[in-house]
Amino acid sequence: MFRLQPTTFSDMKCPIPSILFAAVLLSPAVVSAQTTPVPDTSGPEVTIDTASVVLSKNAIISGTATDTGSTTTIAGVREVLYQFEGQTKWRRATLTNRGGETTTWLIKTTIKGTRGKRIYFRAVDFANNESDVVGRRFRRGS
Amino acid sequence: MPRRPLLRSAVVPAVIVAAAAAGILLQKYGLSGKSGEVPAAASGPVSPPVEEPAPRPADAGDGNSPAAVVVPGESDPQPEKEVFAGYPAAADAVRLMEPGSDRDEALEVLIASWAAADPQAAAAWVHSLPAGELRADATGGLLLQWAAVDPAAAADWLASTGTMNAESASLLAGKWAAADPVAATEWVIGIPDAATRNPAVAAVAGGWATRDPVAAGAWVENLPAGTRRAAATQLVQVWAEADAAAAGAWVRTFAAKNPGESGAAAAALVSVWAAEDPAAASRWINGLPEGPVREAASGVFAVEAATRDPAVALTWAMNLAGEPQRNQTVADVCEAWFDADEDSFRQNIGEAVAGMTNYAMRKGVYEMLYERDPVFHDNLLFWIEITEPAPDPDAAAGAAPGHPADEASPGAAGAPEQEPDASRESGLTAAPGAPVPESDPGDSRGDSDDLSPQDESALEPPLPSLDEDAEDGPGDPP
Repeated sequence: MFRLQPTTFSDMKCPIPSILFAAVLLSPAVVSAQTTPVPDTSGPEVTIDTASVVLSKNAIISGTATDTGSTTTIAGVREVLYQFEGQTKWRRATLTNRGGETTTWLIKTTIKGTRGKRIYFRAVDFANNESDVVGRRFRRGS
Repeated sequence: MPRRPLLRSAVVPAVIVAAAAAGILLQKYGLSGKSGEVPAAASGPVSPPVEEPAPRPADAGDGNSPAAVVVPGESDPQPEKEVFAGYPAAADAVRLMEPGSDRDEALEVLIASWAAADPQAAAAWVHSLPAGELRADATGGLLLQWAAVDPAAAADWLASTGTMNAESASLLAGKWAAADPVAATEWVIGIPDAATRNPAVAAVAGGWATRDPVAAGAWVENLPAGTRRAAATQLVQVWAEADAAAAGAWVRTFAAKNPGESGAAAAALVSVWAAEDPAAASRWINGLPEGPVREAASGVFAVEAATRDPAVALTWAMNLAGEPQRNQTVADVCEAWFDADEDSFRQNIGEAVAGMTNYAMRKGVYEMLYERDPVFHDNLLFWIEITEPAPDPDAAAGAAPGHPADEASPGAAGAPEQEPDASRESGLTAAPGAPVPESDPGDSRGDSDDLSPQDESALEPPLPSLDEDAEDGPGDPP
């Protein structure tokens, strides 16, 4: 908190121009610019690390979400959501470092057949910025 | 929506008929494929390949190709083979279908058949498609088929298109590595773009792991930094399904050398292992040193254990060190519990939440439940005291907005009184070798046993190692 001290001119021991200059520096606009955190408007990024061909019974699909755009305390990846093609519901992936600048996410699902299924992913940070949606089809390779 | 039924009734049968006709022709002309072109390493000294490439026809188009694609290494003269002439027309019919499962299904049938009969002609058609999901799906179907017969030719074609990306490269690399890991490694290392190369490298690790996980592990250890993490994760995922203990031993060694690139591998391992043998998985986690790798593994274990024993799962979740991670994992455990046994959840969630003195933790459960069952959620207001603590200027100075301070809420009407416990946070830190800390029996976390279903059998500890290691811990059975 900024407080002007002393509060009466009679207590002042410096010339008025200096006081005026200080007042300008401490005006609401200037103080606001100096102390108010810059809003985080940049979204996180989400990448898929798992190969498109799944070779095991139960597929664990994992990736990374990164939120590096913020210069404020409101930073970090809040959640990574995923959606199967043809469905409307977005589900939450498991994160290993929620709130971190970078976190690994993973989901467990089953991939059947060579056609497999397309899955979409997006990340959300603590300022509610969202990443682009990335999608990939995962196929059963054996 | 008159167009969709029309298209479905007209085009899908046409494609299927075309594919069927192609299959008949393939059988009629006895096209047996180029078995001699399977990379020699596939029949090398390593264990037998997981999948034997089915005999496929191959090679050049027949004039139906929209554009001939020159594939290096395909200069050997091949006997003339008659290929079904209707593929291009069927392909164009598929292209005109509306996006959706019908088109996906028709494309899958078409590409599988066409790529088996004439991969280069199929490839030319795929390359003629505009960028988008149709081309991506067509490319994937083509590569899946082609890579089983001639991965080198498929790789050359993919590189020549200029459209190679993580999806297509990793698909080809994974298939190739399962048959010939050495050749696959040489190809992926030469991919110039890191965003494409890294998933392809990971795919090779996974494909190689199906044949020889030890050799694949040695290769992953020597990969450059920045590439190892995804490769290790893919390797471990495949390895754990065959031998989780061996995969666990590898992860422990790998983590000691690369702690910053091992969390995902540990999480993947536990995700597989905990479903098969949760006791062994929990013992493995207990043997890890404290740090991010153990945190990642513990969080995944908690979610995996939620369907077996919610009380134990909540104990693991509450013992996570990081504040946002811990609260979200608690909510994830509750969600898994809700999905697995809604009756048990309804009976016990009230007491579970009342035992959470952390405001943000309760809020996470509250929000989760609001999405799943708003009516029940409202009934739980009696238990879920959600009032945000009065702002404390001193505490607020160090707390990030959006991350409510980790402190007990003021006494809630109707909710059991929770004494703010300054030692709680330190108590939540897992003791070495055990995720469940020793705690005051009066500690609210000791109520976690009450979360289990009321029948006696459910109170049996499903995770012996937890109880062995957590002497006097809140998760101990009576």
